[in-house]
Amino acid sequence: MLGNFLAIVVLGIIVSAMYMLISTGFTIIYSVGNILDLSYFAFLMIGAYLYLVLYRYFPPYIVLLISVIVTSLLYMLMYRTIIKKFLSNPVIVCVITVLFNLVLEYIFTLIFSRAERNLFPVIRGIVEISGVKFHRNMLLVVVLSLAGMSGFWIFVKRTFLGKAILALSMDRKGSELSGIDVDKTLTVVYAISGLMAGLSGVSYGAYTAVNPEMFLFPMIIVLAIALVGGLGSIKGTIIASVIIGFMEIMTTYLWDPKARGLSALFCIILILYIRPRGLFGREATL
Amino acid sequence: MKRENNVTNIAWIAIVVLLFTVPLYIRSLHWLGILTFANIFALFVISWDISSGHTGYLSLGHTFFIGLGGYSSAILTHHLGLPLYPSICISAFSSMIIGTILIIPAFRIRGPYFLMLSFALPLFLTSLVRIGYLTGITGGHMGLFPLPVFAPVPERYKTYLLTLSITIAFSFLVWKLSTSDVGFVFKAIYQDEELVGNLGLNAFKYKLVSFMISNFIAGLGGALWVHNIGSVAPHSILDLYIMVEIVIAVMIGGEGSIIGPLFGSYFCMILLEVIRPIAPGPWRLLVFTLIGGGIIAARPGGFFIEILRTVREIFVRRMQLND
Repeated sequence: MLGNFLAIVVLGIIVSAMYMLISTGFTIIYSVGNILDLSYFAFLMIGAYLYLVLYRYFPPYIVLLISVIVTSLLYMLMYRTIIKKFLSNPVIVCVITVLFNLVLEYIFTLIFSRAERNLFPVIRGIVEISGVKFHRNMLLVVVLSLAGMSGFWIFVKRTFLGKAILALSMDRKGSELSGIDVDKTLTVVYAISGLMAGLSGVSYGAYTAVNPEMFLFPMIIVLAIALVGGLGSIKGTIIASVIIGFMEIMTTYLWDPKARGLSALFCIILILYIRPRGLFGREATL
Repeated sequence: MKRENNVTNIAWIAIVVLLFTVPLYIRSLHWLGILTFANIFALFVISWDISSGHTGYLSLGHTFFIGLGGYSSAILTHHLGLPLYPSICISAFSSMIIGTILIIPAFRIRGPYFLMLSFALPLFLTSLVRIGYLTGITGGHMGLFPLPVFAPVPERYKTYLLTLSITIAFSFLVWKLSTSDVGFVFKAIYQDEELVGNLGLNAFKYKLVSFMISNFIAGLGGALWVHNIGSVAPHSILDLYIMVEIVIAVMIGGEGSIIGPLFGSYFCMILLEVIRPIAPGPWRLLVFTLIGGGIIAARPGGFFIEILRTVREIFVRRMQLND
């Protein structure tokens, strides 16, 4: 009985940390740039596949570093080439990014086939806590995710660029008037988001499997977290990811493993009925 | 003005006659099947346009309402043995009622979050259908088959004519709605919802009506499709790719005008078939997405609606010159 409880708690922490990372990367693009960029999830997938492909050539830590950095660079490139062209028309951005996700799905299907692949862990081995076994790799995921979040937090609070990002998320016009270069700042935001996407991709791929359709499920999770936590609030995102993470672990562990998405959807419906602006949101819409 | 209308009316009558007489000159069962499916797909497309295209509440969950209609009809005919046509009618209504109840709380959120929520709906239905508890009714992963069909394969032209009539009838009705005052309010909601409220109109009611109509037609389309194929399964009817095809067809056609998306839907269906020999397997959808995305990027306002307007302009000017 204690074993079960401990398993749920630790798994809940692992999943929450992972979801926190995934959703933060996405929400910063939206709250800072007001861009609904769904291609974030495609880059999550790119990060995972990069890791898969490069694993045999370099030691694991190096592979991790390379995939994360390359994903970040690619994401910045995506911003500069494709997204900037359509910024004036948010609907088109939305449609184009969704199409991008699908095009990537088909390209990956052609290269890698629909088969699910498993990612080799960065750290091998199993840790045993009070009789329950956990993969060391997943614990590493928790550490990296929390490190990433803290790193981002420090960056935002201490550096000038970070404060510019914060300012841009609050008031675009005011920031422009204060002399903040929106384009450069957005590029930096995309770089950070790309880092998070890459890391999330490897983490999520290690937790489940890597297949060309893997970008679908994180989309729902991120939506649930964004809605429950409240739009535009980092604190909300953090707390919401803990809630959603634990709910998912509890439903899959205790009820039906196939009911994976249902708890998230249930949370969405619940929050929409009770408190549409989310737990820490400022208003119902942005 | 009257001359413009006459030209347009004649053109439409010609097109409708052309479509109805198709079985006379296209004997290929393969192509009749494609065109039948194109008729049903057109229903999906116009229903998406009247809700998301007009009000701006882009939903990526249309396959949810389609699937709802499809599964209702499948369950009614397969398990309860209801006759075909009443079952289709009931399914359309059930899709409308259930779909609208579920979408109402979603109206509180706007833009991107509405989009993602609607995106989650078909995935929700897919999981629901597969839960062990309900597989007895829904057929789980494999789905339900066989289901009653409209006509056996050699008599496919009957199914074609049936679906064509339904599509033309509903397209006309939806077009009338779009060009009416109600449709005008839908488009106004897209532009500035708050202003609509300030003018004394209840935006919520209008959104509700637009989605109700959209869900009805989508459910109808879903039921028709299910009885066209003769089976229902989560991966066939709830597939994400159908949603993308719908969005591409509407965007190519020109969202907010029913006519553009109609042309867009037939274009997309025919394009998909034409690509098949050139790009087999997974290449087909990739090529289609690239072509579709390319056309949308080139003409974000709507490729077909622009062409139609230009053609009309040319005709009218020629007639004016002849005066």
